[in-house]
Amino acid sequence: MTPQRTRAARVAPVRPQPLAGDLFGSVRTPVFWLLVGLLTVGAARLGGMVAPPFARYPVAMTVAFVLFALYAVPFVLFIAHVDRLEREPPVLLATAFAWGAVVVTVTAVPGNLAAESIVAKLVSPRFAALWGSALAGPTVEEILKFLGVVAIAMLATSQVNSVVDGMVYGAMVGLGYQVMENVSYAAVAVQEAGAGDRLEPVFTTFVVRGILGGPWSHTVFTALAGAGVGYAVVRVDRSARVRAAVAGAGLGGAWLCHFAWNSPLLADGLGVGVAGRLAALVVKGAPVLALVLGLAWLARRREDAYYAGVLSALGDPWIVTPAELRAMCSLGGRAALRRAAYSRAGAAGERAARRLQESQARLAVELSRGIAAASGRGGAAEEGRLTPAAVDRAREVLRARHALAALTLPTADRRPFAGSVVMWLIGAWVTVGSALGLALMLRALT
Amino acid sequence: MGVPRVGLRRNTLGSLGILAVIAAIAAGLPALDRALPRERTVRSGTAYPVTDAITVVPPPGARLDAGQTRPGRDVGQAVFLVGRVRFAILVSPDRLTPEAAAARLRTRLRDGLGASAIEAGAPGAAGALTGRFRLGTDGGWYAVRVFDERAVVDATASGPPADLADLLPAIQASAASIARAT
Repeated sequence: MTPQRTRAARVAPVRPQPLAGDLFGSVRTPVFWLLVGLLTVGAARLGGMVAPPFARYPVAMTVAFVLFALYAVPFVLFIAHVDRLEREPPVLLATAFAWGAVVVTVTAVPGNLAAESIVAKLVSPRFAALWGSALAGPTVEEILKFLGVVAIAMLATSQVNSVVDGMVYGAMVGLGYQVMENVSYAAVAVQEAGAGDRLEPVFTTFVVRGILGGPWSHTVFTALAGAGVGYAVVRVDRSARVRAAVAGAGLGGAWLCHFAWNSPLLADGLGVGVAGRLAALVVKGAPVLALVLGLAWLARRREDAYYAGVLSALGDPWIVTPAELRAMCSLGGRAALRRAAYSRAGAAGERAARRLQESQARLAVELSRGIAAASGRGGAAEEGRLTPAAVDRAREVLRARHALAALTLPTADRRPFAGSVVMWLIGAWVTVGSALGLALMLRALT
Repeated sequence: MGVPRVGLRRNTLGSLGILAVIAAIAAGLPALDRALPRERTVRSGTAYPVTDAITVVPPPGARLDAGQTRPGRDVGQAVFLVGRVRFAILVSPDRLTPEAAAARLRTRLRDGLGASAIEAGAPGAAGALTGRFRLGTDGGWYAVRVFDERAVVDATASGPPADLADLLPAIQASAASIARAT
């Protein structure tokens, strides 16, 4: 077995660690109890915050909760899809979401009010009206969300194995806050409308904040901050000062994106009405989204290259073929292989190819954990010794390989290639969102 | 398998750091806000801009509550403190009739502030729709005006009943002074 040490492997974009006792062992750490305490106290306070609007507007608030809960689903699927090779434990993703929804929400409400008031007192009420939310919002909220990613990294350091992982946890923290903030905005809109338990303000909030403002909001900001945390955790080859600086840069970047979004710049839509305001949303938001997606793509490429190197080191074409290795490291390569399997053996072939890819990913992660656990630079896989867990995963790969090979005949029930469920759901979400946004724009223009 | 002592110490310090930052935001910022003086003097008899388009002449002796005043472009609010009476003016760019705007304000007072005994009174000066309400032990007065069917102005005053009764003429005169900026 000849190890192939790619550039990606040399600079260690991924720092896998053994799972042994990780999540259960974290019960013995102070940060676990800090999280338990803050989430418990926060949940009680959040209950106290949402109870009055629920009592006054039960229908509107129930619809708001359901609507924004459903709204979160495609986000969660997409975030999980980003880290397709080494999926994060659902309990940690849920903890990250809860931090955003509970801890950030209950802390940011008094923090934001106080910060804006301080700006008004120190500068002027007029300045606070224009710039208060641009200064207070990012300062209070980005710090709180960043702390959530830090807490997750402290709770389960071995689960933050790459920059992508940091982005995933950051995005989940941001999404949790985004959902609860939107629900609170819906409650305020219902109250401001002064028309009782009506649904129109909820739907308006959903369109404006969820659809038009949602794609480039907290989820994206905190993913950027999370990238910095991921780097700081993974790049142990760098000095503590450099890692802290990169983490700080991630937080600073998130702050800057949030500041630009909240700032009154372009708020008047360049004086061309609603169309201009919608264009301003895109101008302010799209670059941030593109930046974060680009960063995620780069980080994932390096992660993919690392895991491909780990599989390649086995030198076994039954485990992974050169074409499959290339596909692992290319955008859409895995989907192309599934399409090829579909063209050969229909839907069953596509499913079998997917199972093979998933089992290969699990094996790569397990192998990398074996490398990390083994003493010395070589590691278990490189020395031809697989851990028992890696042997189990390798058997999974071989079973999946045989299942795919057995499906060589075309099936009668062939249908057009369906792509992944995730992409279908996201596509549906974008379609519905675009339609609602267009309807809103037309209504405003007419 | 226990947690290494160095790791435990680092974890403890990190946890305390997180807790300290959260406490600073949740409790420290509000404490700092309270420590800063909120009242500002306003020039007597001079119109104060609530938005770019709407102004008000504050009652004599009124002081501006800088912590709650936000004079924006087309949305804004100004809060004045006159003795123990709080006089707030809120401008929003809504297309409502005066009656609908008054009904909306009454619902907001009930749902948002928990006001009770909300009554519609006789039309006030400058075509304002006025009324009274109670806010716990405090008394309250409101006036609603609509400018060009595009800007709704809600003016509310609340405070101890005796103080409110004494200051109400001045507050009503101030509400009548609400006008489009020239």
